Amino acid sequence: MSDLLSISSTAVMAYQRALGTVSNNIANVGTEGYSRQDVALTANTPSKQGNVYLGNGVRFAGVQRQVDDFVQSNLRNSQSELATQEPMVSYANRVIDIMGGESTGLTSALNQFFDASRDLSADPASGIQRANFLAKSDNVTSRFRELAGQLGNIDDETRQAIEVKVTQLNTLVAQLALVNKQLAKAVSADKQPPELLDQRDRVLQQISALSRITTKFDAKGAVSVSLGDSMQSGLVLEAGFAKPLNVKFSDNADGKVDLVIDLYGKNPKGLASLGSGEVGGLLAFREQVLTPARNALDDLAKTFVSEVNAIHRDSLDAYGNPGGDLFALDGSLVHVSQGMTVALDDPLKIAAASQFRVIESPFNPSPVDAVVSYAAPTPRLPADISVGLSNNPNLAAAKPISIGASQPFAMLTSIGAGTTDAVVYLDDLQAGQQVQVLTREGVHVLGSELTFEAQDMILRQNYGFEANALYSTGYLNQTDELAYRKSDLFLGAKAMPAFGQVFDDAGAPMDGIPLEASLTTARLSALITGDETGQVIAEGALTLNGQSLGALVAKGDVLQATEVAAWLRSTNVPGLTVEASNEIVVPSTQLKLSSSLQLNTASGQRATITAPAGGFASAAALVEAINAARFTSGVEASLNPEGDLVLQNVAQFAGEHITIGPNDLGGAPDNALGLSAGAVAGQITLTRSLADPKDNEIRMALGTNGTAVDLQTIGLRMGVYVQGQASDSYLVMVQGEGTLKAAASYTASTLDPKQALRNEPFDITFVADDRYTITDKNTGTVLSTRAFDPNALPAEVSYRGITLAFTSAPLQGDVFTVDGNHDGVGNNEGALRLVALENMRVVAGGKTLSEAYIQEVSDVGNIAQQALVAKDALTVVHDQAVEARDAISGVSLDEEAAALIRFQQAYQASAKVMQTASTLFDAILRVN
Amino acid sequence: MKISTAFLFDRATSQMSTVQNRLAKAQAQMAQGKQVITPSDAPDQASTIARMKGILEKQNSYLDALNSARNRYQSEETALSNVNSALIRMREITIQAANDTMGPADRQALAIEMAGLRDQVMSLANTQDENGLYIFAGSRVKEPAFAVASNGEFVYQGDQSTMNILVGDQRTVQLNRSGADAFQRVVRQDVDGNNYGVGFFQAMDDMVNAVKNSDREAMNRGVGEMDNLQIGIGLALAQIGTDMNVLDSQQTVLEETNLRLKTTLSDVEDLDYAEAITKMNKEMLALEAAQSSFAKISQLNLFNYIN
Repeated sequence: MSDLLSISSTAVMAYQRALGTVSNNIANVGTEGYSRQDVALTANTPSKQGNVYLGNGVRFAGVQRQVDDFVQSNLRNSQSELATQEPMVSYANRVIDIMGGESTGLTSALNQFFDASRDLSADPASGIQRANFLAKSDNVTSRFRELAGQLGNIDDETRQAIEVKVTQLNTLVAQLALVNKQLAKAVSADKQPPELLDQRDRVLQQISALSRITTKFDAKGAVSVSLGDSMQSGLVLEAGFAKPLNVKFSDNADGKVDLVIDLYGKNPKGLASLGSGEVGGLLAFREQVLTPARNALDDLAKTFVSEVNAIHRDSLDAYGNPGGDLFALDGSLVHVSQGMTVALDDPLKIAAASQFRVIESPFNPSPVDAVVSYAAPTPRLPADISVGLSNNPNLAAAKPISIGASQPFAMLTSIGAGTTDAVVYLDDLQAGQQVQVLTREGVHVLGSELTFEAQDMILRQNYGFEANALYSTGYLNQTDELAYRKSDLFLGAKAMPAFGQVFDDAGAPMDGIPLEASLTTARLSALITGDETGQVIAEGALTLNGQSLGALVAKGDVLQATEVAAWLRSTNVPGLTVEASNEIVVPSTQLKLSSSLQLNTASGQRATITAPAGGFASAAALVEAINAARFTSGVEASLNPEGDLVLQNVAQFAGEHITIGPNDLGGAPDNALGLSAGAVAGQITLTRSLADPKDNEIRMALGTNGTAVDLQTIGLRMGVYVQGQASDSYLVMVQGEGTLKAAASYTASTLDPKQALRNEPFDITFVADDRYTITDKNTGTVLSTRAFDPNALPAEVSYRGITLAFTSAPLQGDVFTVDGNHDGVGNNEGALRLVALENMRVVAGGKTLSEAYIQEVSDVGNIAQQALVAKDALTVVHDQAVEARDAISGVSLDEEAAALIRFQQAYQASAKVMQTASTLFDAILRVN
Repeated sequence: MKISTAFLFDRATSQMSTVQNRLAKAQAQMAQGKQVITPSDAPDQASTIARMKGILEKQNSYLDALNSARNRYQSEETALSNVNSALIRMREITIQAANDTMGPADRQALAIEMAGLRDQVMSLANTQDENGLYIFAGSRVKEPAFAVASNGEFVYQGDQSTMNILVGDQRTVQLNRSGADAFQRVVRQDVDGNNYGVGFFQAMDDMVNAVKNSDREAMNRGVGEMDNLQIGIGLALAQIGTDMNVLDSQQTVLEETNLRLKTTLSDVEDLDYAEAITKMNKEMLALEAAQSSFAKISQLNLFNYIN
């Protein structure tokens, strides 16, 4: 009934509840995340009385939570953005403080190192300066290690911070899941208790401080949260199920981070990155600042160490040895600058001097100064012997070479400096072909003098010769003290005493027993005839151990080995024995025991050994039969231990031709031996006794009008012999058209060319303004005579990698000595090179070491500055978002006070209405 | 637009703390006299400051190199001018000895004094620096520059290497004079008319022997050679003098560069006190205003008026 009492009672109840709501707001004025609750009052449905609608009072409809979802989400986003900048600013500033600080940064340590090398260059022999330099080097390494350690600490800190924050994130998401479960109980969002929704929003706010989130609310107010930009990727919360985020750090230098959602669940998914929020900010700091800074520091350390070590190794220390490494890096560490140390502890091992020294003679007419530098020379043609010819002296392994008419010479090989006991055998040379051996400087050491045309054609840079070198025959075919650098060079056929291998009781090799030098020719050709006078080899064509041989004449139709032996014997070289022999070995399988045989030596008679009926019983029978006829034929036979048949001359005819018959039948041998019919010549063996230890070799060289063909006629191989270690590169060439074969035997060089050069000091003497000679100081040999252009700039001379740069063109009479600086301790050129490193642009991108480091500091500084500016801007945005939210959801005490008064008055008025209704009822009751 | 009570308080508090931060920073700057206390205060300036400090250090190290070069020149100059005085005295004696009125006994006495002078000059030529290294020996600094061989000959044991050092970014000076350059040889002619060189001390020794033996021809030759020896020493002294002038001018250049760099560095790094104090006063005023206004506004509340 719409009467006073019921209406006022509805009003009283409604306003009572309204007052309760207002007092709730006032009580929660300081509560974090509380949204103001507004009272919703609706009028009750009116009741109809007749034609009139009468109202039924007021009803407390409910509490409205004052919140704008859009503003809330805006606030969350701006909070994420702001939280990103904070770790970046604070950690980047820490990195800058470490890297740019004077006592912690690298700049001052590097400067002190170069200052110490400057001081060292002023006084390199002083022990104090050396100790100081060592101390400053140690300083640099310890600063590198410190820096790397500090950056490593920041790495650990940020790593821990990320792990902690991710755990917090996971906890919050789990809380939110519980809230979602609670929310599922009510029917719709309107019916949810506002405090629960406030809690949900509060947790969402906390999560967004850690990471940017995307949210989706369903009809009941439950929220799905995703860490990515869309709900598809990065979903961590759906209805009541929370998926934890897992973060994994790699230990490599790239510092990559793997983010995985629900790692141990059914369906783990990777997350590409966390864009914002505190965790995102930390990850961005590691990626943009920390990892590049650590890698740049490591690269700088590697460059610094390698450059300093290269310079140090090129210099000489106080002991006179080439320097070793000054700094060392520990390669087993991921970040190498954490393991940088000084590799020396002896100040005398610091290399400050240069490895080569040039001394201007005090008697020089001109005041020219020279500066010496060394650069390893590039290998030049022709190819070194170890590359071009295999180490196998046998004829079968020889390399065939053909020389045509268009270029009538061939550069065969170069015997590199340091090659030991090299021999180049040249076989099958033709008439007109000559072997020449020269150094790269045009000094002719073996062969015969070149004509002017030949010099012009051959001595060119593209054939391996030095550009300005002049041809010299001063050392041509010289020996002993007069030879080029007193080396033992020989062209011809040579035999030396060999050393048999001897082992002692334990099986270790002992010094060998010398065996006599022995030279055995190949089997002569059986058909050598002389010219019209019977002369095979002219007088003076060959020399044996320095003695010129007379003419070799064939007395009979063809030349016999015995004649050659007698001819060789005629020289009367002391201790020389020459034997001619002719031995034919026939394997038993080759014997044709059914055939007969005709044998004779040149001085013997032809003897026929007839096979008995049925053939010879065995090889032994054949031997017997041959021996039976030996007095006639002059040929005897025997069986060797392998069962082969050996034919030789009878002793007094040793060396003569052995003729075998009968003639071949149809091209195939028709004799018991199975050999082709015809004469077989012998061979000659020369032996030299060991009586004279200084003169116990056999050397057969060419005479003034001899050619290689003469040597080959008597079955000897032409060879280029370099005894001992080759002091220079020798170029071996053959002049003249034709084909030939080349083989070699040698021990390859193991020399370090730079250190070898240091032990061979030389003089550069200017004999004229436009000509200079290079003389080896150890042996006095003139290594080179070269033309010099006094007008060319810069005035320079190069030899085997050493370059002498003159301040101006030297004059006639100037002498410059270059040596390996074995005792010049006061030399400071090595230290000067270290000083010059400070300004050299050795870092990638054309920067010096200091510049590269300062660039790194500047990069970090820029990022920090950008973060600072961004933070300021985002703070403003965030403040505005907070303000907007508070405008809607915040509690203002003044507003609540006003509402309190309003509802209080309404309550009092309604109470008054009740009182009036009661008075009216009393009035009716008093009617009696 | 409504301002909630919580927002009002929060806003006022955060603004006051911002101003307090600025005040604290200004106070720290003034206490240290620097605008940039840690590199993170001005990250973009950090690299400039580091670079300039590096260049300053390098200039200072060049100054140190200059000083050590100067010390070296001074010790060489001292030694050479003493040699010069000895040579002058020797020349006097030589001329006196060449006089026909002297008898062989007198000449013997003079020869003894000359021998003493020769030895004095030799010990000056073997001057050592503070580390015990011989300054006139080129790069063979561990051995005396000049010595007497077993056969009585005077030999030069050093070499002719010259050492240069950097005293500026592009400036090198030669640090030493080798013994062969300072103590130059004299040239004599042999019987064939060819020229050959005779070392400094050998010539002096020949002179002493000539006087001792009253060898007239050698003494006359020696007088002329003494002149040549003095010329050589004089040239070396002149060279040292020139080099010292070079050092002086280079020092001026370095000091000016230093000053310029320090000024630039100070512009970036050091504090302008007038500006800083003005700024501090402004901040203090702002803080006072914020605090007092907050006190007044925070008390305004409707509940105060509802009894």
